[in-house]
Amino acid sequence: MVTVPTLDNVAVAAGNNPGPLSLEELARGACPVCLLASEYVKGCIRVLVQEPATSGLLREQLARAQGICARHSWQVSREEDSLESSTVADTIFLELTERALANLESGVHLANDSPLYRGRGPRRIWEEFRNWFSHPNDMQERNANAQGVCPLCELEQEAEGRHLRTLVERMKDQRFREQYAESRGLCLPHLRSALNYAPDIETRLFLATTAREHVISLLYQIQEYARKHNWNNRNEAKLTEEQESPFRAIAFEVGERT
Amino acid sequence: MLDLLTLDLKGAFRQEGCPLCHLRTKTEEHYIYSVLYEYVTDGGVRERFVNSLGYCRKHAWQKWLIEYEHWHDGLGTATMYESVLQQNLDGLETFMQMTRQESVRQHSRSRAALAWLRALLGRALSQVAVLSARAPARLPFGLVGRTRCRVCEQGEQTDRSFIRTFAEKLEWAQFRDWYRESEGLCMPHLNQVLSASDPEWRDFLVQVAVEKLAANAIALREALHRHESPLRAEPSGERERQGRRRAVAQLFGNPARTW
Repeated sequence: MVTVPTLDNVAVAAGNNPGPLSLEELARGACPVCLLASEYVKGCIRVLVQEPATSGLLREQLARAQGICARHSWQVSREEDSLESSTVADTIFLELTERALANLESGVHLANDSPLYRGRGPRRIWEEFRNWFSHPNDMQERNANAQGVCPLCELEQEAEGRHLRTLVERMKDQRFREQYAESRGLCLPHLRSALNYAPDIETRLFLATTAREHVISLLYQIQEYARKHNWNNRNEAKLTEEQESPFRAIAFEVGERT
Repeated sequence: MLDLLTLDLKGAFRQEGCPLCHLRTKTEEHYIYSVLYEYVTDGGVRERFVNSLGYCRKHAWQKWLIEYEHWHDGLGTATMYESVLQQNLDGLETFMQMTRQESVRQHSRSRAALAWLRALLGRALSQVAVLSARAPARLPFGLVGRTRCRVCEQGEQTDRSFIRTFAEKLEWAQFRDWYRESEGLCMPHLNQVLSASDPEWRDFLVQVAVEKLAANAIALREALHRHESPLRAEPSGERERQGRRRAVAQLFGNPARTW
């Protein structure tokens, strides 16, 4: 079974024993929420592909949602590529292919009815309305299909929410604050969410102040990176932090490349 | 008749995966390359870049890859993101100022009771809020962008042009033959082309899609049977990987390089 790390474990470990699971260690050069959420989803995909017996609920969700988003489909496919004996992804994709095939062969107009179609419009709303009443027993399932939400995206969002809630709650602890201030902090998308989540003004101000310090430091490094590209400054030592600063600027703006 | 867009489509039919996904990615990458090659210091491009706080996640990392592939460097990224970081700083300072003002208001005696209620409500709401979809109501520019990712807009524009051309050229027999030889459209693009094309060509599009889906289903079934057979001990072959790739590409579209 894949162990899924949580910020709780991280914070507890950090408090008692600053070993390899401390926030500081874990978040080296990365937004901790991006890192943990991504590891969680990767863990889920590994479980799904390697241990199909333990991922019944997830497979059921996948079947109900009639597919996953493109990004996660490719992740599942690659995970299976890396294994030589797994057939889970093939089974899932075969089921989805057969469903799409059945829809097309039965003459259902794909643009209106396909569960793979994620568009909106009056005709689609009408079709959903009509289907709703024509199959009252399948209402719940149809509702899930109509939403077409990727279960792996949902898991990712849940994980992000869980870690951010923990992070904001832990801000009351002075030691946790110090550790957070020493780390590279959250990326901008997660900072926005954390500011929204923060229960009081003091936590919001703390988050904004630390983010400001991180941005000032990053801005200085990125300016130095550009300045040292000038021929006249070619002999100046190029520091690792400066060399990494363009990469970290992107990671700050949009989240880690996971 | 051949025009430039049709020529592009003809070329894309020979590529792996969905031809329209391929053309969209190609256009997006070309746009990013052009910006890095000659518009890094252009005022208009920079203003647009800062207004959207850089590109979206997918295209921001795509930009990074393109710059490293072509220049082995991050100078264009550094130059452009310097302005974005400056804007982030302004946004954070405005936010802190707003929050301090709110704090002062909350501490005033006349509003103490109201603030207490608000804090209580805020705490209760924070327990149930769905984080990712929600943005705080009063975040200033610099913490949130003003416009959408420019590369996404370029991609959508490209999609519209090629979908229109594709739908128009379906009446040309040669074009239909070229398309039939390709790996076929992905489902999201098939839906869009079906909506844009004349009813008389919809059967053809559905027929081709059925052929491709059926071929993918056969390949996947073969792979599954192979695992159940005595040959199971053998490592999975390139043929199986290709079969899976084609199936995923037809169902969901081509993968982004940054995934």
